[in-house]
Amino acid sequence: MPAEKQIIESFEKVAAEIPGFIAASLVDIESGMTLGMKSFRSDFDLAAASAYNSEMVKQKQKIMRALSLKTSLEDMLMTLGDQIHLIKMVSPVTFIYLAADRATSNIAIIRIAVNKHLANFV
Amino acid sequence: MAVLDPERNAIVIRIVYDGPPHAGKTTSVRSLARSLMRAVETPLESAGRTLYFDWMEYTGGLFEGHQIRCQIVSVPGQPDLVARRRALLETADVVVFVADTSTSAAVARSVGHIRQMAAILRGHELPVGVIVQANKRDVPGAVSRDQLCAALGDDFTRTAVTESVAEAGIGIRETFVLAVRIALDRIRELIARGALPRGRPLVDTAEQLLAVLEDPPVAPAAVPGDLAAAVEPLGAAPPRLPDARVPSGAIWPPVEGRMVLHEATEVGLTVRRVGDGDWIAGMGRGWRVHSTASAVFSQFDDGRQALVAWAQDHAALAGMLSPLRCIVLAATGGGTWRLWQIVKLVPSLRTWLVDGATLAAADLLGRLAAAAACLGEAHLRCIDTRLLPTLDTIGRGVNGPQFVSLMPGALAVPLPYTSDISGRVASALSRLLAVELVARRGELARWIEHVQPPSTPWDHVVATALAERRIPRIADVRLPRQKPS
Repeated sequence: MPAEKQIIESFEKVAAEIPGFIAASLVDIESGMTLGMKSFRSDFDLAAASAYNSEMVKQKQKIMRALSLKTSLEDMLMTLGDQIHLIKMVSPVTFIYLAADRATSNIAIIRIAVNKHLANFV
Repeated sequence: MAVLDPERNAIVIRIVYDGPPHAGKTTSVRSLARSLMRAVETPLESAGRTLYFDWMEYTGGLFEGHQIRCQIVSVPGQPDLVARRRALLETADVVVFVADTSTSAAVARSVGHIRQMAAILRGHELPVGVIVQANKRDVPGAVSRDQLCAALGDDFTRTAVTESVAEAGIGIRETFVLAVRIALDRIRELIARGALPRGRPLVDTAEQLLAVLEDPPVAPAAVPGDLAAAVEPLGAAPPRLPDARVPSGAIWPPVEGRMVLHEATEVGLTVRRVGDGDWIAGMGRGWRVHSTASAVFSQFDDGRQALVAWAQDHAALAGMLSPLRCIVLAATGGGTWRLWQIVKLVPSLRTWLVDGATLAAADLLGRLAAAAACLGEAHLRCIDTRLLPTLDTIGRGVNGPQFVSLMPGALAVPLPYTSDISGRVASALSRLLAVELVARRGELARWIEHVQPPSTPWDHVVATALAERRIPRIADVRLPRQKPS
């Protein structure tokens, strides 16, 4: 697992490639704790958002088990009125949570940028 | 100490940072605080060394729909504060053991320390998880991870090892998150067993933790660990108490000490072991007979050397100590020697004040002011000594305040100098008024306000304590480290 400093540096690279980047964090699924994060908006409670999204990931995994789906969860996309939220699984125990402004960004750019730097978060 | 707090919809867990002195415990907690943008509270320090604990709170993550409130605490690493360390470790849900891996010698010290920690944690019915945080990895020639694991031995083969450079903040947050994860495993098991308590945690703030550690005061170990040559297993048979057979030269003071010993042993004492491994006797019999876990010697001469050093300390502080006390080196009956401290119980200021709880308001206020003056004078007289003046350790002697508690060990660190003695006294009285005298508090406050306004400086201290409705914050008792020149 990368050190916190590397995580932050990697998020800075991701942010540079996503217009409308708001915030991102690397989250421990089990506890919902953040291992590192980068935010451009002080009013965005990234720690809380990360924690609640970890519950969502766990619920989704539970649903998959209940449906006996023999596959893995890759990512989850949420489209809000003015934001796009992406959850990208990094490892069995961590995921990236990223929020971007919908007016200036799009899902393709976000996915490309996150996938490009994904190895830095493993 | 994990608690489910339904009122706040939170699971409260305690993560304890343990490790030998100078391994980087406080640095790790402070580094974590920077990373999480939180503040660390440290009640008292001496020359940069933690005397009680470092405290940080962090709420983050979710577990089964509950917020996770983390109490992050580091212990004092000094050998003579082992009782505080033990008290904190016993409340841990997970321990991050910060090991100094800069040199082989440092690793050896860390290994000794982690074994002590393991012995302390062994009492838990449900095992407490441990992470070894190998610190100081940036030091050239640092011991390799494999060598560290080998040094830790077979008992720790299943223990997680992380690497860190605490000063640079490297490896700190990952270790913390791993610790939370391990603590949650324990919580899950507690829930499965129906053993997770519900309600507000008994200790919810640094101030409350300080109050718990101070009251009753945790007496520092009486003898430096490095002087004690023999090691006594936790399940050892009770040692023989000192008696008339104590050889010449093994008791101090030589004449009066033997009389004190005679008087103490006449009442019929039973020895028992307490939580921190110390041996005690005399409870309920008017005596405090005490021997720390480490005060055992395989050779009489080693014990005598410790006795002499300790006697010199007693002599230097003789004017401050309650008179009926002695120190004795006695055979344990198991081929070793044990150093004992015997002190005749004398009412402390707390006892005196609590005994006066039913006095008329004017009289009780007078007693509070007298106690404040006594404790204030004790603070002045204890400057640059190892004596810790509190309502429990100070009593009223014929010639002013006297130290009525067990004498601290030779490695105990003097209290830092403070110019705000009245503030310290007010804090102590405030806690007493909030607990033992809470039933009289309102009446006393009204009396001071309407009938008998404060006239002396110590009356004002009492008035301040009465006005203080909360337990004093740490900031109120934080002191400058150096005495002004």
